[in-house]
Amino acid sequence: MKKGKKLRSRKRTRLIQSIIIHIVLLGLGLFFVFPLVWMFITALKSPNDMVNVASFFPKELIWENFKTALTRIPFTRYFGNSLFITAACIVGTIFSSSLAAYAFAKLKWPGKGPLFVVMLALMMIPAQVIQIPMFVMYSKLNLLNTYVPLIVPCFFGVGCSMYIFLLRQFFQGVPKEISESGRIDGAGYFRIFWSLVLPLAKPAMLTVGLFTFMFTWNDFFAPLIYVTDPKKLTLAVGLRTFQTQYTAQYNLMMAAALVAMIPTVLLFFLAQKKFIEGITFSGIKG
Amino acid sequence: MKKNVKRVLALLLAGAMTLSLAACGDSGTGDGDGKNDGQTDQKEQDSKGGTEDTPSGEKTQITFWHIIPEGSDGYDSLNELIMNFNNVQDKYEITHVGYPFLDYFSKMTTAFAGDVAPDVFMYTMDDVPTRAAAGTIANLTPYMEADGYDTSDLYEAEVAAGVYDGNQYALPMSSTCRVLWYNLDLFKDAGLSEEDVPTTWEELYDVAHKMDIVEDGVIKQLGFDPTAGEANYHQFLWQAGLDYFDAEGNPLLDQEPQKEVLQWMVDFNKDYPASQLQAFTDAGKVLAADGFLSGQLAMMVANDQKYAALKYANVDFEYGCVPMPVPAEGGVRSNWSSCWSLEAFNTKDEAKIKGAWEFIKYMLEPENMEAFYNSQGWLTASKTANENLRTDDIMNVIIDEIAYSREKTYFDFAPKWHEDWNQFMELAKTGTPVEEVLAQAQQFYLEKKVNFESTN
Amino acid sequence: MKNIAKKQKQRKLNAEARAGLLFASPFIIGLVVLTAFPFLASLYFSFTNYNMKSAPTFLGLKNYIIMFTNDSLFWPSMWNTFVHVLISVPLNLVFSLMLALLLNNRVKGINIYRTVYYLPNVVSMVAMSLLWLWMFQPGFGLINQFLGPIYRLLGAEPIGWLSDPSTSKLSIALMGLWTCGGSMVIYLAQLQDIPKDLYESADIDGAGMWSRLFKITLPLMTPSIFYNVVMSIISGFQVFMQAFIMTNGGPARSTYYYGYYLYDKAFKDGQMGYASAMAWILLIITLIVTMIFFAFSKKWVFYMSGENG
Repeated sequence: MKKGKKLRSRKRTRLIQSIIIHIVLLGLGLFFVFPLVWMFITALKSPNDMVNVASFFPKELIWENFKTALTRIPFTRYFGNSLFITAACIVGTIFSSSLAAYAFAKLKWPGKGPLFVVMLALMMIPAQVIQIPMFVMYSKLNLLNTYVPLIVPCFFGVGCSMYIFLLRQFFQGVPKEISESGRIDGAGYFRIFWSLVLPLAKPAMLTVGLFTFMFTWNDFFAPLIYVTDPKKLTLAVGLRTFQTQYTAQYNLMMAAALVAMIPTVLLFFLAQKKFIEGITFSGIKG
Repeated sequence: MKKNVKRVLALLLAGAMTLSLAACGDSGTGDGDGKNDGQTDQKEQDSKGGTEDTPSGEKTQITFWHIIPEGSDGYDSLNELIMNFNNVQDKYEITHVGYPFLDYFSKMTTAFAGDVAPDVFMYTMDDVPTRAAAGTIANLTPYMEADGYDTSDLYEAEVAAGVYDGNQYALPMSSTCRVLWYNLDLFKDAGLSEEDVPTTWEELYDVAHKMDIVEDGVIKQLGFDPTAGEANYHQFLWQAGLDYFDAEGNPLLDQEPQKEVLQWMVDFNKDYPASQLQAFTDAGKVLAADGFLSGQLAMMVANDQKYAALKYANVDFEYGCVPMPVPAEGGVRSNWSSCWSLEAFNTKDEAKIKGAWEFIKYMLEPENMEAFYNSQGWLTASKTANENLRTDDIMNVIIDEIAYSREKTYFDFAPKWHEDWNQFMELAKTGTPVEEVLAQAQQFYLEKKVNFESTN
Repeated sequence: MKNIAKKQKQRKLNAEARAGLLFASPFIIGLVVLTAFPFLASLYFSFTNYNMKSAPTFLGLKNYIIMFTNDSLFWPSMWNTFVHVLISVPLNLVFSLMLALLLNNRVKGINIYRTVYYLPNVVSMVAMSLLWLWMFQPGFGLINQFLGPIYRLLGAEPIGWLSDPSTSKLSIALMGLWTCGGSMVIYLAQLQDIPKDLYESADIDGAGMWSRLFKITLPLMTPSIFYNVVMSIISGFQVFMQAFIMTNGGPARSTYYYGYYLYDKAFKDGQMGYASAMAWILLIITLIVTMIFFAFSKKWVFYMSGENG
């Protein structure tokens, strides 16, 4: 008798909870999605509509803006270049960051402490004062107009401080017992890292991959200053074509920007599945 | 299984990367400025390692950078114009690249810092001394004298802006001017006619306020705002026969006449709530839709390019433009310009500077300047070429007004002193008394001057 | 016996030290070969007058002296940045944490919600700033239109947001909330790591929602909380882009942040030497604040491995 009642009231609180959650999610969702709706509506506006700030909705929907935006600039070329650079950066970043993070999190070695502080300090200097000497450096090395300054640094942890720090936090959370059991089995440090610890940090690694993708995909500055051949420019730079000296064709710019966002959004959506899976330390108490 | 897949993928990517680096590495030849890769011919080229080096060095390669990227309006005709340089002579071969305007200056700054700038490039006419003094750009005077080059067809004020220490370092490749645009429909609505378009500050004040419509404390329409559009403090100072700095670069902002002009600007619409006025100027920032284009501001100061914007936006009101009003007494007809220049990079290779000079001459020929206008809509720097642009009344007014435009004077301790001023204008607009604003500005510029002198 | 054990331990340490250095070697190589030069160059520039066109001329400490004694914008811009950090760090922490907890539910369509909440991070800074400029506009902007009835109800003046010096910093901080998707994702990742067994045993013990939150979830999230707070401190100190695009440092210099002033010095005034000096001062300050925070972290950050800090 009593059990039935308890179960029912529990079910009811769960139902109420889920309704509240849905309402909040939707409400906040509007806050997050609305600006994108605005971008979309702007993308559909005609030049005449653009000058009327008061009116939100366009008088007519110019779907051709998307076509124009995509055909005016060499979209596919830029897209391909962006994709290449981004993919290479992801590989490089994950490679160097996970190794370094593991070293900081799980291993003892001389200079670890000070180096960690240096790694953090690298993030604390505004990029503006680093850009020029960095450019001069690559210029003296004769590496201008190549993708080397855009890709190779990722393989060496340059600019990856925040990923190293992030992964270090996650690796540090992996129970010591895991590495101990690996060592008992006679595994070397790399094997423990690769087979035992890494798989447990999948969500974090995914996050790093995702962030790297997003950052590199949207980065216009590095390709801009290092590349001179327009054939090698990227999408992020190309999007800025729509803002000229006197006129800014925001409608076309929004259209192109929305299309440029699609890969990142798709990737994120797909990556979400992994986030739901999660992991369980069955049998191991923390 | 998964492990091996990951390993293989990593190797593949590493391999792909190495290959592409090898391919890209070819193009970093010479002094690494990528000059050989600047080619933007429409036809697909043999793309392995960029374009080929001319083996015998018969033609000297010249690179040209500008702010019209591939995909902008009129890019194709511009490309044709530039590449035609290769057809009209056989000593030099030009290639060119356009970068987005937003990023052009970052690109150029890093190029200068790395000593890898292109041989000839566009830049701004109002800060030529920055580059001339540092030896970044080449002295064109010897070349001009050798060729007996005559600059009389170019506007004197602009040519003068390209002079440093008695030598010519830059030549203007465009012109701009500011005029007063007016919405004739709004004039008619207020019972006025085209004859009422003002010519003096006093008339401006009277006429403007006849067209203000304020309901319930909300500004629905304004006649004029001295802070909207491209009107600014130093322009009004010039029109009052005053200036911002003296010849030595000392700011003159604490003097009575300067204060009066600012007071005039601030008082123009003082009866209306400041936040409402802000909305008018903000509208200009948001979506580049300003009060004039949206038909809420009857008169606005803007440059010649506003004409293109009006046509592009297909506005539904009748409009025109006139020279800016000036004070009835002691008024000086003037407006500020912000032209683009053509400059040659001061490389060690004399041949390239010579080639740059030849290209500059080519671009400044009147027919070519007109072709540039047809491509981009920028007024030309040539008086004769501009004569061909007098297609209607508006163009007539604009072209006449170019003669009265002048560049800002350059001061090394504050290369963008007009941008520095924006913060103070903001203070004045939001209620800080003019006296205090100008005192702060004065102190600011003096401090800048002192600090600059102590570190140079 | 003891000696052999000690030697074995030493050998193990040496192996571990070697492994550590090996693992960190890509990073160390990158640091020495690629990063050291630009960083040390900027330090050198801070002692020079460098206009980025001609070679720098040595000035000694002059830049620093001017900065502290004859620069009327130095302290105000520093203050603006400090205020921004003080406002934005707690706001971001609370908001993104709440969001992550909210999105950790297995409700239908949670995938879509998560993607939507992350979308703003993907939008370009220019587009975003334009949008928010419009949203915040006191007259015709969307936010005040939305709040219109509330203003009328309270008989209050509409908030000036970006046009009012007293609310401008807050507006920029609020805008930052829109892009908290990044830290939210990190919290989500951390939440996946919390063993479900813990919740199950808590359920069995009859723990309610709140004690689950405060006794299990939050403590186990401290590693990522720590990370996000440190990162938002570091990025908070460098705030500049939004103001650059939207407010030009106004109104009344209320959003003229230190990073903005630095940019102006470097690229508007062409004084990279001075800007570099400003950058290094910022680095020192950020480092000090971060290290203080690190020192405190030992008290409240738990890693599931049992390690500390």
